Amino acid sequence: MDANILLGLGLYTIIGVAPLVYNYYVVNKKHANKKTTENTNRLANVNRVPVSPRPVNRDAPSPRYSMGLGGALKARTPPIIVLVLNNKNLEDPEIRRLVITYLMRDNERREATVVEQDKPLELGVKGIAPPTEIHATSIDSALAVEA
Amino acid sequence: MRRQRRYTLPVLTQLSLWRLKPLLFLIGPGFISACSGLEITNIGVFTYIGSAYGYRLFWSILISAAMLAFLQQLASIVAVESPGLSWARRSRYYLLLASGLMLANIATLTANIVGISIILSSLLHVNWVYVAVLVSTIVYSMSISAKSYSEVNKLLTTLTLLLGSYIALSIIYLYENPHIISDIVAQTFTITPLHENSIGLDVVAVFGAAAAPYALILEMITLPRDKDLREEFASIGLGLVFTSLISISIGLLAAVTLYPKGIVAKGPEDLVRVLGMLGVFAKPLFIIGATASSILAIMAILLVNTYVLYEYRRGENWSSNIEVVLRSPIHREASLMSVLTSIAGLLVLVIVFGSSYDRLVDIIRYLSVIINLTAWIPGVFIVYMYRRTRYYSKITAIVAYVIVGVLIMVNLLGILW
Repeated sequence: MDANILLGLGLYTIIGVAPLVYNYYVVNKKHANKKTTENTNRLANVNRVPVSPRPVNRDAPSPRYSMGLGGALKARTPPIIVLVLNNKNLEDPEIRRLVITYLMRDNERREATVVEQDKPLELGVKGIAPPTEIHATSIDSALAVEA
Repeated sequence: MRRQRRYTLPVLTQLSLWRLKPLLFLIGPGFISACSGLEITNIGVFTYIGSAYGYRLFWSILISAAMLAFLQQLASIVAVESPGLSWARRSRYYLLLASGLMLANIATLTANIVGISIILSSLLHVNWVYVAVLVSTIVYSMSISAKSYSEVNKLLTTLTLLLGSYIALSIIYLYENPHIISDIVAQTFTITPLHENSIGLDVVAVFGAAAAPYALILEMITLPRDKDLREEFASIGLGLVFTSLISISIGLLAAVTLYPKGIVAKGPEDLVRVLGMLGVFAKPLFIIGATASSILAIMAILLVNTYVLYEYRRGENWSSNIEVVLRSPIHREASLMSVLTSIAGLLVLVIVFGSSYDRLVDIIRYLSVIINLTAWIPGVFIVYMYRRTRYYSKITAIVAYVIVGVLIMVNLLGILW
């Protein structure tokens, strides 16, 4: 075969095919390596934790709830995250951003039940609010503080 | 309980069709997505390329398809990590994305409406401008009154499979004339300087036709969040293989039927002549396949436009679920706006090009150039968002920037050529 054609084929492989294959390799590697700790300290990571839409019977605790986030990822079960904060916590801009990121996850308005810190959590509650603003939905209050 | 095992002859088991099932499951979706991804801009531009340059511009078809597949991979990663366009909505440049996308979409929409109209009117022998208005009305009402989007989608997708005959005819042709294979490979991959006058614009048109940005956004808004990315990547890869195959087939058939006679594709008759091997079936097959694929593209574009507008307008408490978007009043509004804008664009085309059927390919070419002028904007957004995902890799990001850079360079070089 002509060297010129080989050059053209090589260029097509490098420009066209190689990036696709490499990308597949990266995704495959990161998919296999679920225990990766990369980026876990990032705030935006909260955005990526899958939460099961199915209600879970929290009266029957199973070991997976006690494993925390890392344990849940290891067991490939969706963790339930409940953020309970008080006003003081919410003054911290980092935490506030985390709260808003969490509540705005999927960019849908979450039905968030307001819970006080000392109140026992109910089934499927993913709520957060300063205890003083019990009547507001949590997202409003979180956003209000942000504003 | 253990299932009782049925004893059959090992040979029979090996020959069983069910063993081919995984293979069919892989090939089927790739073939279907390649056929349904075709629209009149692709068919028109690739036929033109084949008829005007022979096999010499096939490289641009291959490279543009591969680049789109790469951007599709990144788009699916972003879509899995953050649904819909919510990622882009948060950016302060959303308006830039929305307007660039809208412009490209309206150009594609206009190309498809003009394409269907000219194809249908050349059969009905009436002025295509009237048919264009009729087609717009029909497509608009189909799009907004469809009770189930997926049902219409399925029917149209089935009809587009007729376009698979391009591949079949090419394979038959190559089987009968195996000596041209080496010619095709040589002319596709040999790097030679090109001197023709309008070649720059034609390369831009190929990129515009192959990499229409609505496909990327459609991928993002319809991909389920729990989709396994490896599966998605496999189907993107197969889609690339079949898309390249069908695109090259269109170009090849044009190159062997029109190019030797010195005919450069102009009107719908030339597009049908490419399928000449089918005899009397060529015309109905082309009309049904091309119309179905164009309507499919139009509906997808209307959906994408609706979604873009929806994201722009929605309050915080709205959901961006696709079913909700389809049922919202914005769907009607955005579809009407898109169709009316493209009818306005169509009138401009009539003023510039006249209403002769023979300007079909010219119209499609220039609209493809317009599509490519804005096609890089969603690309930039996708690459930017990709950097924040879990699957981020430095090398991929660099390659992605290079590819978006190439898209921009193609525009600049093509226009300056």
